[in-house]
Amino acid sequence: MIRAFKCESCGILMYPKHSVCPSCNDRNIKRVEISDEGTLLTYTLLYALPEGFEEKPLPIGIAEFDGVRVTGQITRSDNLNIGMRVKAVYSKIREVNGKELFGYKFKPL
Amino acid sequence: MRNVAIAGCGMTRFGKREEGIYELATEAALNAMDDAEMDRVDAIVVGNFASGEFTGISGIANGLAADLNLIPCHAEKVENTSASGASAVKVGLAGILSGLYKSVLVVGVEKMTGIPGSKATSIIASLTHPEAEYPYGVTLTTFAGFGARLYMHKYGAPYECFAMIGVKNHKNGANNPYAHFQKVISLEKALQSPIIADPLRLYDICPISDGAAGLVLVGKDLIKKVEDPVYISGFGQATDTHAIHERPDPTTVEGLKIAAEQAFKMARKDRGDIDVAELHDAFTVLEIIQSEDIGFFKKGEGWRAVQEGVTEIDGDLPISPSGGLKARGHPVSATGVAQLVELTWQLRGEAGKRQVDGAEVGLSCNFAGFGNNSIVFIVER
Ligand SMILES: [Zn+2]
Repeated sequence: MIRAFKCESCGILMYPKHSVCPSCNDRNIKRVEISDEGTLLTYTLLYALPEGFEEKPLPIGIAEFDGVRVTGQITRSDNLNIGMRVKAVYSKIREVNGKELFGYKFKPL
Repeated sequence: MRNVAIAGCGMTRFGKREEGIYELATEAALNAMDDAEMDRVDAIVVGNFASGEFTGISGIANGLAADLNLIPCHAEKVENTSASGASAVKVGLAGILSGLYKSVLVVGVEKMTGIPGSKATSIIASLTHPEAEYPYGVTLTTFAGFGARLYMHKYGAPYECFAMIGVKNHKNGANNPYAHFQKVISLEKALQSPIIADPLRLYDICPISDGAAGLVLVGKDLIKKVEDPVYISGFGQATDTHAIHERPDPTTVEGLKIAAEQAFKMARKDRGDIDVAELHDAFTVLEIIQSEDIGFFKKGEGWRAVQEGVTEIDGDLPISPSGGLKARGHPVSATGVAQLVELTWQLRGEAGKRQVDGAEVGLSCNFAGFGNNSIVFIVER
């Protein structure tokens, strides 16, 4: 599941969390789980890597889940298409000073 | 609005420079002061993104005031990522319009080389969303790849339309003695250059540069002393979402539409009045997106302009005769100021081989991040 956020007042879903609802200005924002199966909206294969990444290319994309968009890494760099179905997997995305960071990786279905 | 004028302007050559951040800022500041034939100002505003991170130096506005013998003038640094330059101009403009100052020296400066490229990329990427973007390895170039792929998919644009912008801007930069790159490149070379953020290639992406640019702004009391004033007649600014994926259409920057509308309204001008524009082509795809969101072309059709020659120096709407960020270079915070330096030269007819014939009204667009903050100026004779 993907952890998104919901405004308790107007009901909109958002990701990332906002302190103030972008739709109705309410501050009562709660965490909710949404479907982890979605659609790839766009992607790139990155060859100019920031610090802490070794393997080229780094596939990154934006995918949409239950109307909520999320940026994440993609599990492969070949045979990718806009509109393809993906499943978000919560896994290791980066290592900083020996500490592992976790986030979403999109696995094409 | 004709209450604030550019009394003088100047810049350093952009590129990989031996000099440190102070030397670059001083060179641009003195060029601007000499051009204005002034040796005192009420205030200095320095646009700078990350002197601390890139060079380990802070407090540059105060240091500059002391070095230039401008004590006890007011001084501060303004930070707005890659729009720090335009933000510094805006602070100077606001200071004069409020009546607080009669004259302001604005300097945009960045010293970026001298550290590994991956480190520089990370410093710039630190402006992305700290939870939803940055940890994934997302950089500004990543957004450009997202935008270019989506743009091609939505509007049927071929990749060549991006490469052609790189070729055009290199052609313009070849005639700009201040540009980082002063050489023409062929379309074949651009098309065969290495992929950096698929589908974008090397010649779609601006370099990491050092450099500075300066302007002396004056208010009503001093304008009459200026021989050939260029007026800042319009200004607009708007922020947009932090995470790029939150934008309803990632190929549209709503903030730029708002900023452009504000600037046109203040200047009482419209798109057809603009003779020359300096846009923020940190990535070739941005020149297209910006030209559409400012309203020069319809959404989805801006890519045709470069193919039809419209945005060439002798076209109907020359875009970035300076060479833009691609060829002039992009010392982050110097860019927004350098855009106005170029427009001042263009409006005074001092742009040499890259002169746009009869240019009387110019527009600049400086982007913070990927349009997280858009700043538009309109200048005129
Ligand atoms: Zn709400």
